[in-house]
Amino acid sequence: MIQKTFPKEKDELIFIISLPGMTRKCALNLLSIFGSPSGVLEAMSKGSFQVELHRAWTRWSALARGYRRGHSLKTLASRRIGVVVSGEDSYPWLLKEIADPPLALFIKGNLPPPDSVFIAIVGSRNPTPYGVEVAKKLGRELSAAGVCVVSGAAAGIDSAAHRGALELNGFTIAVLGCGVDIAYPASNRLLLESIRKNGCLISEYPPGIKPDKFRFPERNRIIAGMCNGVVVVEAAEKSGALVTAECALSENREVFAVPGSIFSPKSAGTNFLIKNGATPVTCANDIFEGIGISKTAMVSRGSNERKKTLDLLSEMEAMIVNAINDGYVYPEEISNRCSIESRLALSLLSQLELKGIIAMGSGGVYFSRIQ
Amino acid sequence: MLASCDGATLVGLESQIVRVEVDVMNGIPSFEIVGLPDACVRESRIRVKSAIKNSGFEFPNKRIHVNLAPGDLRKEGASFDFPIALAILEASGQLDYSKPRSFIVAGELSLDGGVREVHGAISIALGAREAGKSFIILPEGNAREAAIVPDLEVYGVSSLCDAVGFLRGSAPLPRVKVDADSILNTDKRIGPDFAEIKGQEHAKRAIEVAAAGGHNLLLIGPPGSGKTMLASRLPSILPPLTLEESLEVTRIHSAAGLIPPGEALVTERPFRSPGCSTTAVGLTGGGQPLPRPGEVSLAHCGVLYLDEITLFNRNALESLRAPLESGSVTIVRSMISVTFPASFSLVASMNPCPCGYLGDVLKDCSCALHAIQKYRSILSGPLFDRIDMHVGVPRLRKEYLRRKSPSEPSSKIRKRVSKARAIQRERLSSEPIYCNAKMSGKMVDRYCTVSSSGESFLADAFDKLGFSARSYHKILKVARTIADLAGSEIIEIEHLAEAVQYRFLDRDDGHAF
Repeated sequence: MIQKTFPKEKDELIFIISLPGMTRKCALNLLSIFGSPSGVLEAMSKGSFQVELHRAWTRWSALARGYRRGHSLKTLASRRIGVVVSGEDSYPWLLKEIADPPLALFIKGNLPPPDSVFIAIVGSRNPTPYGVEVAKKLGRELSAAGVCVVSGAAAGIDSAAHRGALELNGFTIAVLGCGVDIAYPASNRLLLESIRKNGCLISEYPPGIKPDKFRFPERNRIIAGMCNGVVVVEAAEKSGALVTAECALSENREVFAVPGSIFSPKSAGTNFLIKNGATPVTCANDIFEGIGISKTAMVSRGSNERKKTLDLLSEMEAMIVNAINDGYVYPEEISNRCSIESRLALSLLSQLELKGIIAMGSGGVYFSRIQ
Repeated sequence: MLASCDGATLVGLESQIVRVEVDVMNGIPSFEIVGLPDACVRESRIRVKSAIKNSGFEFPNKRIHVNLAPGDLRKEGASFDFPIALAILEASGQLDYSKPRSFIVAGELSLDGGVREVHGAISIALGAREAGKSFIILPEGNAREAAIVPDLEVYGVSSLCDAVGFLRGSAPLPRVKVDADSILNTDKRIGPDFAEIKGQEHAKRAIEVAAAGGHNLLLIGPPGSGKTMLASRLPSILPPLTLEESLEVTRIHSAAGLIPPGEALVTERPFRSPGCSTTAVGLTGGGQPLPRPGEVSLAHCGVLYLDEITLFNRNALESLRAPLESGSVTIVRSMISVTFPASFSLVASMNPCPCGYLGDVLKDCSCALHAIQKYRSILSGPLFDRIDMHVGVPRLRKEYLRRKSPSEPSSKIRKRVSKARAIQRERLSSEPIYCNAKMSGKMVDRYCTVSSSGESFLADAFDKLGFSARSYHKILKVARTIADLAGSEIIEIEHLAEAVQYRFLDRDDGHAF
């Protein structure tokens, strides 16, 4: 989103937030002391205070004296970074309700469509293949239903959730713990780029802010705050995802958890959540029920879709799709079930995969992508 | 008195004729060997002395000097025992030649005067013929092997006495004769056969494609799924060795001392499976003072199987790059440089993840994603680039193992493979290569004609499945081979679609496998 007009107050606020060393708390304090952004700026540029309000005060004073009106927003606009401040219409409405909403959100990409439903999918950065598969599946199913998938673009579950949503070109939002111009983790650079194209990157930190450790819990509060519900896919006993779940609880959002093996340490966190009252999730429908949105229409559309897709396929292709209906199947098993030559089966599998009807999962096994 | 006799030593696969000069003179009795002998050659003093005495001759109680010329070449091995003994006998007046002096003799002596086999008989024979020698005397066990070389008289002896009798002309020996063609053509194959493997049709098909196009293959599957069993049967479907190939393989195996006594030729394609602790030198060859062929050369014209490739030492794997690229290894030492042929099909196996059970139907994988990525990254890089096909080998359910239906025997598959190879040879007749796997990027563009629907399929596949650029040529090459197996000149969708299946480790998100 790029602002055409540069409202004075918004520009001043952005300037203050972007001051080096400025924290949300400090900005809020200054605003409450001086009443408005322009008040803060005036006090700063005068710089004459008996008590130094902050150890960076003198530096800020110098910078404030160089403040040029409209410049902050213009610079952001030239870098194709949008910004929404609290109080604006496009500010995520759920986020307004939380205890300490961010003063402004920096956005790279498109704003989510109005009246969307937001669901967060979070979890371990070092998941098992099971977790990855579940996150992808939920991401896919949610975006198929038009839900906006929100996550943190971290490695592991977060990435898988984004990827699942992107597979169906669904709108997905990555809330970052650093400036939106910084690709972190670096291995997700391409993923962040495709999220930007198909959705947006959001951060409460101005561009250029490095990913510090303390920013991620703060980021988690935004993820929880802007969503109708939070799904924890896989989380160990001490996991950042549990922080997100806690934020969600304290903001009265619905918390969902994907059950896992009781022997898997990576599912200890999610199983703990379920024990303490979180709704267990096995498919997107559980989520819709949990947040009170009826998706029965969606489901019936799904089964129609399946019949329609199968009708379009050749007899052989349909036979293969039916053969892999019951979960994850090796090519070997598929040719056995259909009793066809394996070279034929292999060739048909690739073609079905390109049609988007089946996909390959962990370990070279195939699963069906139509419900 | 002076006397001399010609022996030979191996430098790589080439034999170098070594003139053994002996001087027996008056003085304090001693026995000295010069000419850069290694410990083994120096020890021949003991063997020669006893062998001469125990063969009924007299060991001269004089000062004996032995010189091995050329003096600047390091000599190794026990094969000089025999020429040293003959030269001493001549120098001490116990051997008068009735035969021409133009011959080579090689063999290790035992204390009782018997003669033992040496390494590299066939190379020594080839060297003798090149040098224009009229005959060659070898231990009996080596004689058939050397007799493969045409236009050279070969005599096998079992003891020092036999040789002396033969050279004096008092006890003639039969010339050893061997017909190479008949050895090659009598099929005595009793090696492992694909008919013995139940199920795994998918992997078998992949191996057939790999055999037909000479592609390198990576088998991925949980422990106990039969990766080694499958790989060890690849030689049985490769086209039979030609005489030329067989000679080359025999030379290499002979130099390594792997030819059993009495055998003439290696008639089966070799299958080498070095363990995962093999060092770089073990793979490529080397050693002091003269380099020996390593596993890559021993697998020449056959299959090199690296089981659990991720457990191999990184250096060792990197050392495979040159042979995979050029089909030979060159070992350079300060004094010499030696080239061994090493043109082999690489088959590697690995588990899908550290615990081995990722994607398994019977057991859950307990690995974290990081661990899997780290495990995979061992393979990434230049070696991975030279592997054309990735094949999943799942564990089979018991039902399939119990099934009675017979599997296709190797001989049938081999026929299809040979046919596809013939097609390739004809197509590539103007190029210096003979199979699809060796095609360069330019050749891929020239020889891989894709149908128009195939083109759009390929574009689609790259878009949706996230293949990297390097996969492009590999997919086309493998598709070319699949089309050749099907006898189609144009590469159609179905060929490409199958080829895509053999590249699944390439998909860009890294979570696919």
